[in-house]
Amino acid sequence: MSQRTVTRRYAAALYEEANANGVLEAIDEDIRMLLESLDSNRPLVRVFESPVIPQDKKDSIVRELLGDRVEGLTVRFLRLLIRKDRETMTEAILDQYQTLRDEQRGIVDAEVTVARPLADETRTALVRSLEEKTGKEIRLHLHEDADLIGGLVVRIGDRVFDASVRSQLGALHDRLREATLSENALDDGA
Amino acid sequence: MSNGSIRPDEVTDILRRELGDFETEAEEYEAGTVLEAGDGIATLYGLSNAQASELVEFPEQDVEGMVLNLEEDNVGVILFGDVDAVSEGDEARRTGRIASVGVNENMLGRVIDPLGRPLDGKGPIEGEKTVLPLERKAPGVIYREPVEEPLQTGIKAIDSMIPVGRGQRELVIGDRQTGKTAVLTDTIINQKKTHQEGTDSGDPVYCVYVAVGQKDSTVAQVQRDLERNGAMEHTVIVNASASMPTPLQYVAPFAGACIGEYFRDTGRDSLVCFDDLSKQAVAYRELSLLLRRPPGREAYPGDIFYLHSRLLERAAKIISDEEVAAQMNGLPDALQDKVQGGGSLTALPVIETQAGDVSAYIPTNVISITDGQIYLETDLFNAGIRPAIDVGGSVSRVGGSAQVDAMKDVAGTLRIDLSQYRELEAFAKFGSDLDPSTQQQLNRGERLVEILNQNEFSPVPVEEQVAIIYAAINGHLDDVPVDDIEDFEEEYLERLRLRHEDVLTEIRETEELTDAAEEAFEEVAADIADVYAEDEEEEEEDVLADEGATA
Repeated sequence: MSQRTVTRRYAAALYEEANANGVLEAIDEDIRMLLESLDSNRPLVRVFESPVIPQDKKDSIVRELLGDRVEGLTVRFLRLLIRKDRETMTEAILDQYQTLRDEQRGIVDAEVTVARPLADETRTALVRSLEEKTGKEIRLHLHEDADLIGGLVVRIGDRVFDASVRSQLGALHDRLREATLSENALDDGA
Repeated sequence: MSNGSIRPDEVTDILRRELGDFETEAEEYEAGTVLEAGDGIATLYGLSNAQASELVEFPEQDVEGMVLNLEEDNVGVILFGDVDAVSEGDEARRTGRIASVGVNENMLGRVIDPLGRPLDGKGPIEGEKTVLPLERKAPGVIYREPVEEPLQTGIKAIDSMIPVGRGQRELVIGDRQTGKTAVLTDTIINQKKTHQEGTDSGDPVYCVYVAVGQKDSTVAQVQRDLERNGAMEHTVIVNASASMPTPLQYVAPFAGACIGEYFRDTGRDSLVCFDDLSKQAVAYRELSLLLRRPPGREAYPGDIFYLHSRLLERAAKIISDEEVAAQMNGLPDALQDKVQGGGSLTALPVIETQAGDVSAYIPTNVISITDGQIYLETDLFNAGIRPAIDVGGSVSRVGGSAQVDAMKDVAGTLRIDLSQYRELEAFAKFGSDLDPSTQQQLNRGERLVEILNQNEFSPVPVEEQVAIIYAAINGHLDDVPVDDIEDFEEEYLERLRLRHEDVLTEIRETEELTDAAEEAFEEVAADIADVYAEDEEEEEEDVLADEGATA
């Protein structure tokens, strides 16, 4: 089974259980915290992914580490993953959970690449116009790439909106290369 | 200043004008990322809105591809062009266009690749093109007519016993080196007449020769043969040679069908030769396996039958009622207001067998799809029979109604006579021990085989075919020595052309065998046969005399 299918099933199960128990908000918070910790704490990732650490050890680490910091459901979920030999996919499953929740709440990620840092008001204006265009809440991820020369490239999901100076110069380059000497020009020259 | 030279300020002027028109517009597109690439295919992540057989471009590498696999979280693409340029992490964009070829009349006489790009170094193909999708549904029952008009191949053995009609699909099958391609080139060459005025050879037939996975040298040879015989003016060669990416070899027959359909749907007759479909099947097998589709018999994918059946279904005779034809199913937008009824697409697919094994997977598939087959045999080829057609193994399931009446009259018993001869051939060794009627049958058979022999690039007009077969069937050749049959034929036809031009013209025009024609044939055949028969007797006498002398 593909990894994506697995992650989607676990994420959906977690969501449904949280929703049924009325602890959705708390679980959202826990997942965000967990993802941040996984991001910044490599040893923690290793605990989940290492095949050397036995299951019961992983299980007790999870219980002791998270026991009173998070919802009971979160702990139960992580222990379920360990029992089912899916703990190596923890990060992907948590990511999928966030994607699922984002979809439900109408939040989209916008990857924006710019040539130089944006002023604060430009940034808010950009977010506002993107929100208007998509009709969804925008979570902005800014990247800088001096190669763009100017303008910006926005990527939301599969859709790319390219208003960079680089690509426009590229288009102009193609156009000038394809421009042919028309009959007139040659006749005039003769 | 000298004519044709370019001043720098002109160039500047043009560039300035281009710049003046240039408007900065933000590009909007859908993009995905290459997960893996190799062997002519790429797996993409993203592009969740891509359609089946949509074109995808890789802007950095200047490569295009076609969507073949749509899966839950990835898209499988076959690559046209520089296959090795695309690698993991590259960006791919949707184009929103379905894979297609632009077709127009200026393609005639040209050699192109399956995407319509010229390969013959004669510059770009000018003129406005009608863009037709590679994959298209075949016309439905309502938009068709039965196959009734003959497509003359100019090959005596085919036109007399395995007639092909316009709109038919006739398979040419045989081992390597049995003259399959020669059958196709001869047929294309014979269509030259249809483009000449005042020859009464029916409406012009536009030909497409699709070469799949062949050597470029072979294709160049075909092109030269067609050019030398003046047949290139009405022919398009679509070439996906062995060195081109596998995806192009897979789509080449579809591109050929597109070009044929352009003529078919604009009310004209076309002939598309697919040389050959076994190589296309191999190309498709390769792609399917790389796309991880499950292999079936001989490792071909499960839809290999559909691959060929949907391609060959596109051969059709379109209804002549304009109103009905205009409503044809699956018409591309570009053709919408150009449709005319009465057109046809005849398909001559080729299958290469291995050691004469027609019961292999692909040969049986295509035999069952087509309306008959022309079976070429190595043994016959080696015995000097050209074209090496095995009459017993060849049929035309619909062509009978497309045969002209005159031919039907003379060739009716030809097939039976020949098969009886083949049966008796084994006994021929016993020579004079056979009874006279068997001797007679063997004698006749030998001569029939001889008159059906024909050189390459020398198509025979249908009225002359009728004339020579008439002479053979009615026993005028029985006394002519087998070695002299070729000379007899030449002389006989020459004399008919000189003295009885009117009779030949009449057959061509009315398609009937009149009493006057029969009389003329009888007279001329008897005359010439006498000469040859006498010669033989004299020779025999000479031999006897010699023997007597030595004794």
